[in-house]
Amino acid sequence: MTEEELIRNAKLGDRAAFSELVSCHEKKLLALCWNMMGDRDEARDAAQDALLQAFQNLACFDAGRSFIKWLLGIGAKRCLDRLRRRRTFLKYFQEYGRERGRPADAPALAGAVDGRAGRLLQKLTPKERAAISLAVFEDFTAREIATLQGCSESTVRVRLFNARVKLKKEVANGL
Amino acid sequence: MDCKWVRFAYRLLPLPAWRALWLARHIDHCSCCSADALDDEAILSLGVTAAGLMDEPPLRPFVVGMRPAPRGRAFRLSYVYGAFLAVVAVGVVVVMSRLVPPAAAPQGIVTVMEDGDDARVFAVLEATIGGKPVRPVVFKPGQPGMTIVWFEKNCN
Repeated sequence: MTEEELIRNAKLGDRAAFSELVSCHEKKLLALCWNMMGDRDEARDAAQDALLQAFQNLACFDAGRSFIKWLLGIGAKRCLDRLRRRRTFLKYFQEYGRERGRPADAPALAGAVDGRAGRLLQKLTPKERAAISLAVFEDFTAREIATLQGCSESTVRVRLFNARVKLKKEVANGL
Repeated sequence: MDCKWVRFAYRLLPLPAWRALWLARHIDHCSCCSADALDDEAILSLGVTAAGLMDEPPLRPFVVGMRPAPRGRAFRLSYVYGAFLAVVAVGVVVVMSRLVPPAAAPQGIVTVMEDGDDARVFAVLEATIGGKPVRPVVFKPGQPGMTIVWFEKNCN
């Protein structure tokens, strides 16, 4: 079956078709989430969320678009949501620790940066990380990223440039 | 333009569209800035690629038990049914309001008799509601200058 047929069947509630559709793209989705979250388990959770959301909103998918880009777009948004929540969570624990007069022993999350993907990409802001992950790893154009992030194309280009500069500095520092 | 200014301008958040455009134009044409940026190949080596995740267990089984949200024909029809029910409800209210006669307003003859400069004395000579005589009740709540008069229908 072609991808179009799989999408059509999945829209009609055919779970096997959706499963087959996902099997072609899930590694890409997982890789994107991994690069953004910096941690395997969180990446799997985010990817799982993205798949559920994609499945539930499949009827909204425009058949004229690329399915993988649509799916990765959902994945990037889910990761940004999770990173925002993580930041709030960390902030809460830091404040708690400060009130108690000792450093917060919170998060496993703070140090949960996975070796390969994490260290360098985690130096970027979440939006920069999303932009660089989509542009470099998944061949998204600046315009596509701008649509996803709800900003102008120029903003994305600047964000990408800044991310590249930061990464070059970090590489030079020998991390 | 000095590239240091470009970096500085980027850090001044939020980044409005005009400044982003200005920065993007500079970045596109500045060889000095391009030299400071890491290329795609090097970035690819820093992250995870799909090819490197072949040993990862699949995500699929978790979604197999779910069903897509009803956003197709059934979802659209639910709006039609909703609108239809709303129209029916409005129709019922309109019809009911016409069937139930409004309460008749009291009618009567009230004579006001002047008694001195400040005080006013009035007498209710006749009062009817819907053509039937009613009993006037005068109530003085104890506050100066306030008198409440109402009419009681005889329901017997």
